[in-house]
Amino acid sequence: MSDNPFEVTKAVDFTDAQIAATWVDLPGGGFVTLADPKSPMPTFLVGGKGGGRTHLLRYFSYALQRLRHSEDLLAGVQADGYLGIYFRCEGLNSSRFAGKRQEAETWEAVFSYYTDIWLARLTVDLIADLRMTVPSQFDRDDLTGFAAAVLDLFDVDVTMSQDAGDPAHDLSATFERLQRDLDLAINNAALTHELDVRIGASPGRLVFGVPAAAARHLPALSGIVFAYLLDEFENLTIDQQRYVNTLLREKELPTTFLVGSRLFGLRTHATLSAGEENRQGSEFALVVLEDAYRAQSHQYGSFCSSIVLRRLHESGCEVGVRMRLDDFFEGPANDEQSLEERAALRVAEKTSQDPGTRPWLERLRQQLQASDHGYELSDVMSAVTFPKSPLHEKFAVFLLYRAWADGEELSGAAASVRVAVNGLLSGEEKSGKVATSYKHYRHDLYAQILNDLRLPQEYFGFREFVQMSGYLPRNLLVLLKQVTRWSLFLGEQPFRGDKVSLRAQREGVREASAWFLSDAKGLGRVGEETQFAIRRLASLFREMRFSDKPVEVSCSSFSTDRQGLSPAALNCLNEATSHSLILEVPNGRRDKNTHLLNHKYQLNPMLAPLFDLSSALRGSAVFTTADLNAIFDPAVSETQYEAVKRRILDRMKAPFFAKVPPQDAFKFE
Amino acid sequence: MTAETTHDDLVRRIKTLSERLWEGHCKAPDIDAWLSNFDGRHSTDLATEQLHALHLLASVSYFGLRELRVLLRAMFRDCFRYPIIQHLRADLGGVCDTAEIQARFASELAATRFIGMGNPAESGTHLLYYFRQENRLPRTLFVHQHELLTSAATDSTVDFADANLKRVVFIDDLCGSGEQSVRYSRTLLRDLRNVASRRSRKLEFQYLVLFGTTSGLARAKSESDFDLVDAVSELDETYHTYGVNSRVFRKPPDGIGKDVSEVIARAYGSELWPAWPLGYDDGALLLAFHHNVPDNTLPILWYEEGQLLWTAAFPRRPKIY
Repeated sequence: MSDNPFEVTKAVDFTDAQIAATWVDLPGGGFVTLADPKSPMPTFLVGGKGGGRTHLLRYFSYALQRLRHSEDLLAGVQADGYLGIYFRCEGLNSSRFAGKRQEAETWEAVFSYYTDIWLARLTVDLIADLRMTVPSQFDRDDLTGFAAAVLDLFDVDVTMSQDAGDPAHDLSATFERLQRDLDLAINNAALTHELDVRIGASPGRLVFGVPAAAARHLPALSGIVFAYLLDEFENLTIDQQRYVNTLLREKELPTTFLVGSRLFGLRTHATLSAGEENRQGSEFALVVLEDAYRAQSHQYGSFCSSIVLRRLHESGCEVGVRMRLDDFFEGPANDEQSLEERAALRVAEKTSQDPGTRPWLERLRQQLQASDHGYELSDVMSAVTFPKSPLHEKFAVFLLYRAWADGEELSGAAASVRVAVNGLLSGEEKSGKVATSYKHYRHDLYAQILNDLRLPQEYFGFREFVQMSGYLPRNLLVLLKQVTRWSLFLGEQPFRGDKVSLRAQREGVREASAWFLSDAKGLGRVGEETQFAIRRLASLFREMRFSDKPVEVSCSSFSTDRQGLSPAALNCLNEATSHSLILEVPNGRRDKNTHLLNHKYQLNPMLAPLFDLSSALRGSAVFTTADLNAIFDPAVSETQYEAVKRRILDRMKAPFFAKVPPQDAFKFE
Repeated sequence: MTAETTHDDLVRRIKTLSERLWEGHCKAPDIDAWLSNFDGRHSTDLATEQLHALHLLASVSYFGLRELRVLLRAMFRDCFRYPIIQHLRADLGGVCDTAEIQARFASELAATRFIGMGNPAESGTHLLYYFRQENRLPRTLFVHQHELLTSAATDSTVDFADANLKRVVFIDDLCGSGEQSVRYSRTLLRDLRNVASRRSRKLEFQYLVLFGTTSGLARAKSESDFDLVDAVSELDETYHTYGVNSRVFRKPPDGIGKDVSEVIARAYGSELWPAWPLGYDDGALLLAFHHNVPDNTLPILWYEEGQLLWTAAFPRRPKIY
């Protein structure tokens, strides 16, 4: 076993036993409340990479049922009420079904037949395995009847193999032969330019007919739902998806479907049934895993804890059920518990050579001198200086910038700021406007202090990692993988005695963040352009956060009505969303002026460490159409973008010369 | 970019190398222990020395066992098998009769003996084990030096132990200065050639290495008595850390300079190995193998011998075999 319990982060890389060992159900009813393999309603399970679809579908599969019910398989299956027939669409090698001098219609027919044969074969194999495992529960005559009924589904005579002397296994061998013959014909079409295939059954007949025959002839399987678990649906072309959609539409009991796909992978809901489209709620249900996790965010946290504890347990670490995962990670020392204490210590460490020098004061001094406020310099500087509490001092400077931007007289404003901050320090001001403002901004101001002192931003603790994962559990595992790798590199023994150091956490999240940005990149030119737009957006958020007067707290989201966005910008925004670089917050955000419900988008918090942003979802900017086009439209030149960015940021930087254009305001909520 | 940023970036790079290529060598505590050798006495300050040292460490080319096995396959295929087959085909008038060529190659192979360069405690001999495994060669093709002859080379009745012997191939990991090949020409190779001459035998002697510096190979070719000198990979002048075209300083990070680095490496190297502060014959390589570190590599990286308190980043183990 590797020293790193989080080395494997993809379910496809796990064996069945590992899937079972690392399985954790969703608190509060479990995953079946989201996707029930017994439900007669076909369900699409969609989401970003790493949401847990493959893990879930494989958990529902017969291979895992076999492991779970090793003592009495049939009783277990009957109690489950379903048989899970797992199938990765990638295995079809769907690109084979095109070209080679054949008509598109020909390939459509061959693909349908091939899919039917494969699904039927998987079902028959599964029944043969059950028969072998619990032979006493399957009467030979029943199996003979079942085999005959299955062969009857074909429109042509199919000779049954007689090698095994057992109807179930002979049927299994028959389907293997049929599939092999098809593979041979399809693969050689490239060489011969002929497709020597005879379609032996009507579309869908085998897919629904084999489970129906099993239910009819095999008493042990009576009342059992046959759930086709189709994973990686995004690997099918639009025509191929249309056929699967047709199967969903024309589904017959005791068959049902659970289909896993990436967000962008649902290319169509069209069917071959007279051009009808499947409709959500009518022909299928749609579950977006991230949205489901987000809707129960408190349960997502405990779900994540369970996943991690299970991993640690499986890797031999001593963990109790009630173990607090935060205890495995180093946090601030006892004398650094509060942000104020940490700020004071960081400043003391970094300015030990010259205790009077603090970059934010020096910057303010230069800004005042460079503007018309030089005559007020002395009064203003002494009013905002609080050497004993750098965080309060930073807040005082921030309040002064606010007054400056509002055009107030600075000496007077500085005096008011001093009174207000003194009130905070003395404890007299606890719940007023100033106290609320301080409470909201203190984390960003602390981040500014670190930035001014050229110190890395701080990301630590299990809760922060969960927050950073953006409701994709794999992101959490990747974070922990990188953090653990760093911990091991630093010579620590993570989860086996040593706490994971702050340095390992900081470096690990940074590495995971960089990985995410490259991993989530789409293919081709649009993937490049989207990545570029994300860098623009994230860098803009960063500059806003470290500006003199950030107008929003920890801004990493924005809302828009999407009206007026150029097609290219919309395409780029959609691409970013479908690849989870940007998360669309369900239910959006209501515009304060028009009261219309806007779309709300959050930069994936996995990217926060790479751009020194907060991983929390707090402030939200309302960008104008022009701003969003400048960020997302790849046709907008760097010069044009820089002009837009400067306009946005000038309003946040002293001496606050920029004016808000009345019709094209950069509004903040 | 500040010195701290450069330092952090270099450590990140070394971590990646350690995990992916260096078989786990040089974890952070090892790096810290090695960096503590540099105390600032040979430059303006400690931070400068340590930053330059870190850059050298991050530039080391390490070949793990997996890579060495692949290289040994390449050595047999490219430096031995293909040239012989080319020759055989030419002899047969350019035919493509694979069965005939294969049979003749088998015969040539059977008339070959592979020997490790240096004594049994050195890396050349150590590599033979993997060379044999990777190329699926019979054990009979590998002999000790003393097994080549029936008796002492000076004995009047001496002959080669194998009556059909056609060639002897000496194998080593690195030809740095070419010195060893020249030394062999004056000792063992001279004796073997004398015996061959006395017995009117036509024998071919080859010297094959995984890596060879351009200058080392040139010297081996011109000054040694081998019929063939060849390397899987030639290390040109850019591999000399302080050469004019050094790849290590082609685009160094901010705050890192070749001249400063050389002053530091030479000063500390002089304390460790006064004769060759930049490695044997001024090799100034940054090369390390799974089984050992060549002495042509900068001593500040591998030195961990004698009375001096010096912690190596890649300890050289001269007598472990």
